[in-house]
Amino acid sequence: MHPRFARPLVVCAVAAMLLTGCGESGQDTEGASDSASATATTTPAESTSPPATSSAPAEPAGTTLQVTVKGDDLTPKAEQIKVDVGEEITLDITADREGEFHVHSTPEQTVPFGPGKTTATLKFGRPGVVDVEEHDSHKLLVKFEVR
Amino acid sequence: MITPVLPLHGLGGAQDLPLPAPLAIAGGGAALVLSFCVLGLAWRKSRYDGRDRERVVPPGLASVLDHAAWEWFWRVVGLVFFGWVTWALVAGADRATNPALGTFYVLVWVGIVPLSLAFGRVARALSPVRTLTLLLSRATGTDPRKGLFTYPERLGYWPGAVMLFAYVWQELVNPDQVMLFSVRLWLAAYLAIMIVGSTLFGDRWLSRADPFEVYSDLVARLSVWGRDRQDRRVIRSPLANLAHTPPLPGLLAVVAVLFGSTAFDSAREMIRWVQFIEENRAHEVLINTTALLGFCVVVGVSFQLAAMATQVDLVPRRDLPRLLAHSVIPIIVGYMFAHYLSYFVEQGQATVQQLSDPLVRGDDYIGTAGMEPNLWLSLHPTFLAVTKVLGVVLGHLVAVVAAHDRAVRLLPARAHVTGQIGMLLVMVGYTISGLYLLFGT
Repeated sequence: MHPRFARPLVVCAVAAMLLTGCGESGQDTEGASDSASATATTTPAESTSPPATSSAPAEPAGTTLQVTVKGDDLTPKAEQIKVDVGEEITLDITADREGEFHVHSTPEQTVPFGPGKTTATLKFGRPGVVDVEEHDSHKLLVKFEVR
Repeated sequence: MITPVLPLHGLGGAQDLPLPAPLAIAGGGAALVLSFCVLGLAWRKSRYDGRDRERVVPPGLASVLDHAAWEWFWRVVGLVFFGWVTWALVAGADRATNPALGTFYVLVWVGIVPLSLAFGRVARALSPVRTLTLLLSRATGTDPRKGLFTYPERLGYWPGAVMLFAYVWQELVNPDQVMLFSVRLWLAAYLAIMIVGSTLFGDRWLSRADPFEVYSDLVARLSVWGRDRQDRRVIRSPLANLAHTPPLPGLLAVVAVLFGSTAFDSAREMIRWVQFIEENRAHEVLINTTALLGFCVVVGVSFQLAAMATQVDLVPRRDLPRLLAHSVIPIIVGYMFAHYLSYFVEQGQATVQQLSDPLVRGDDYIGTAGMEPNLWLSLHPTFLAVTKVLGVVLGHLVAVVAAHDRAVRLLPARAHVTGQIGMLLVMVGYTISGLYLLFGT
């Protein structure tokens, strides 16, 4: 076959393969991402403040995460958790010291905590991977996969 | 109080979702199929090497592009931009929102790729270091092309490879990377090395050792802009332009550092790596540096072995790696595209917004401070994922075509197909590893 015709043919074959590949993965994310745009643009600074404030209109049921801080030891340890866009995530923190969690969402958020119990809510307006780290120990608490 | 973000995440913000498995697998499969198709359709005569499929730039356009005013316009733009960012670096508040950080790590590093693809050797045109050395030469009445010594050509791109490693180390390993003092130190050392080098060896030093120029010059090989044997400006097909990449010593090292570092950037986000580092926090820098070096060495050595395994009798076997190294450039571009696309578009917009406030105290000098970054890409993860895979696969296809075309010129006729299997497998290996890393983080 002459190279001139073969190349476009090959490209079509590849495109067909890719489209079949992404066909399966496409459906689950579309719904979530479209509803996220409204939340993303209207609240440019999603700051969290304990105690929790919830103003979630018809969003999926929330997740609660039990967090313990004992000195430099954190639980959970670098756990990966899947959450939905707009889902309310409650952090129930039990700590023996002061500190703060850096939430690497866009925009960034900070969750300060003190000795004893603290509760905070997080909500992510767009899909992505958000890391939550503790400032003093530099340890990764959890990696949220927001879809 | 905003504390600088921790090194785990560079300039912060959410990261892309990992590629869905079916898409990653489809991409890997496509790369494999395409590679064997190219091999199977093996053309016998080189289509891009030495065949001057080029068109001289029309005289009207050429006279504009070659005019001193055009050159100096861009030199001034580069210098002013550099001055602005230096102002932010030196006088601005030491926070993560200082635009010097976003410029250094995002706008310049990632921006080199699309700008060089579109316009050719942009780093050379804009480089503040080159402008400063030109001005210095004017002031002292010397020829900028001549230094005290001639640049030893057997060094080739090696100094560039070392400087590029210094950059990626700063970007990926240095725990103080988002602290201003660290960036100031890096830039001061960079300026010193560049200026001293160009005094010693003339401005050829800058083309061989300046990491940004070397990177930009190599990516520019995939643009349409080139020069012919009479040094006139020509427009060429990117594949032909790529084939004209000068096969200097150290070319493979540069390419290995560029690809290895991007792969390391993906790998260090993986949960298991993060956990491993946390358990060995005391030796974090040593471990990460070794790993970064390891990735670069693995890429370089695997390519070297595969290239040298190619049967040949027209050139010495040890010349093969650098004669074939140009074919990794499209893989690098494809992978950089996939890895940094949303980071560049979104963090880049945030940096443009920050540039209006260089001292980080609420100013708005250029009017972009109120700009809201458009997060369309992040809001459409499926589109983003498909675009990434298409980018990687396209980069792979161009690479395999380029490697095949060069091999056809170097290999004896009987070994055209069998002689390339090693190279092919190595390139498929790079692409599949790249896709795996995009899937696994």
